[in-house]
Amino acid sequence: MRQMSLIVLITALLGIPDRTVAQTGTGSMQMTLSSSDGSTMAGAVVPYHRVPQMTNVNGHSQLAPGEMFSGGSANSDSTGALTIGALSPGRYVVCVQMPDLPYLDPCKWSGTLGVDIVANQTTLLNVNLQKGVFLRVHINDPLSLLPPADGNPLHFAALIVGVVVGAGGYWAADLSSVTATGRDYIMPVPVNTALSLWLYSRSLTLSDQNGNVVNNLGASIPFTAESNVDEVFTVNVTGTVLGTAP
Amino acid sequence: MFRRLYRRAAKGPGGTTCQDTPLTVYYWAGAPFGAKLVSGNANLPIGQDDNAGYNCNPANPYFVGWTNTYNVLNAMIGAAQTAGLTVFELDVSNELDLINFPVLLRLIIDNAQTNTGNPDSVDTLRYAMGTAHSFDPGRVTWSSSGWNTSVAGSNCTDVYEDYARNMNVDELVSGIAAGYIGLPGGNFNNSNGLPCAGTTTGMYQVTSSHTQGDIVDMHFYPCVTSTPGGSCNTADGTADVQSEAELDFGDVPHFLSILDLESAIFVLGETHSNTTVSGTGLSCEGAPMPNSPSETVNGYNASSLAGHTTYFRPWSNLASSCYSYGSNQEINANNDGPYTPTL
Repeated sequence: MRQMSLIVLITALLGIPDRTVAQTGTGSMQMTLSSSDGSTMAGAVVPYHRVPQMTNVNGHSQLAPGEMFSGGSANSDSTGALTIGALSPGRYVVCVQMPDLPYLDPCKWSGTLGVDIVANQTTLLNVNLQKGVFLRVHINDPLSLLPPADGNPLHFAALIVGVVVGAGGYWAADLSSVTATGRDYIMPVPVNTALSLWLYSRSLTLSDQNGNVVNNLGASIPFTAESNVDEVFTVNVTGTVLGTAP
Repeated sequence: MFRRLYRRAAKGPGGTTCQDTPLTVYYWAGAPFGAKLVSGNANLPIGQDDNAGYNCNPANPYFVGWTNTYNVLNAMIGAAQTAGLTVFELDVSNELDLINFPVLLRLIIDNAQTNTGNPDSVDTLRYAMGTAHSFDPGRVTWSSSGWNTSVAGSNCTDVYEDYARNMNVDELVSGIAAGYIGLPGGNFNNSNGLPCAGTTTGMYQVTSSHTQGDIVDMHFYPCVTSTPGGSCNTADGTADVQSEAELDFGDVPHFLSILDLESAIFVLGETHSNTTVSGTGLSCEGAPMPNSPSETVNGYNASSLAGHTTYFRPWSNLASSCYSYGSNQEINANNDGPYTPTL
């Protein structure tokens, strides 16, 4: 009995719904955003989606009957608050992004937020965003060897730019601009954290801003960003790998 | 055999913990990731429907290692070569679901067990098939499953600008070639059970690229399902196997053309078996019998994939008493079985 009471208490504290009982109705999530530097997190983009229940049928994992993907995106108001209503009960994955500002999405840098929504209840969530700096990578392509980016996700990138963190974690940088002679990539990264710039291409040869050859199959250029100073790299496309087309 | 560890040891290679990491993490020595126990005593990879799953799922401290894994596969391929057999296809892992479980990308390129051998399975296994044993290295592949709808005739486009019934194979080729995997963002939705629309915003972009193979292995069980994501309708009239098969197969040429894979072999790596559970009128997989196998073939023959080099492999599970070897596997004996596509 004592053990059971402890389990009930922990469940109540975590707001974990009893998944064995079908819930009717919807719930909501009320989020308050703050930041490590005290700035107001107005205009944050908060994508969210429900984690559907999966089942195993004849050795095949698939959505459980009646389960569906559902989700959306919301924005914080001028105070950094937002409410998302009419949510089907269940576990939600929630991320937070600050467009054009170097605050770190917890989904990438501190652990994905899992929020349990219970029918006819409002789940409160306070999220403190850490401020980082921008990593900016300029790709100098004077010979126009990079193929045009046509936007089709199945037409794969000839060049991959990102950051390695920890013991093998990897996040890609966002392509922010394309010109005839180059490209720019950008992403927020944490400060005072050991990171490596990742560059990868099967078809292009690369050099750094000093003309030194860069390993095009996974360059690992270490850096540690400092507060309030963007980390900037320039990389040159110098040619194509023999026998490949960019 | 699974082993268990406590959560405090369960950070991924990115230094973070997935939102669904349980207090007890299960590890299978053959898998480069940790798993959670779900209902039905089944295990699913940690990081479900979490586009950070590749980074936050813990490394498996009990993993046998890539070198050992490759050694086994290399020995098998070598034994086939010695025996004068041809390895037609090396399906490294069945029905890779990179939408719901991005960490399965580690079966293609691993970021967590890099100290156990070459983490790049594509390069290593293509070498084993081709250079080491003179088979076609392009026959190294990972199979994927198709999507069924709960409303007959439904279709839509997915985030890859392909048909949504193909979305699992779209994610697979993205995983091989450094595209996007995981759950799409934007207006991604389930329309009648199909994964429709969406944007690449928030999806996980893969670290390194490979060319595509020259074989595409998809698993279809054409039918209309009783609910989105559910099992096939059990009545022949509402399962609509033939018309759904025509749609399933008819969507494949579009996928092949996007990737310039028109010359690739298409393998229907799993489909309705020619079995009937006594007294039910259903196959071992729950599809209406006796027509589901033949309607699948008829749907293929009526589709725009007809004429493509295609192989049919009905599902069988020799460990299950439901499957009779004679009726299920010898369906093409004397070229008169239900799976005799017109090539």
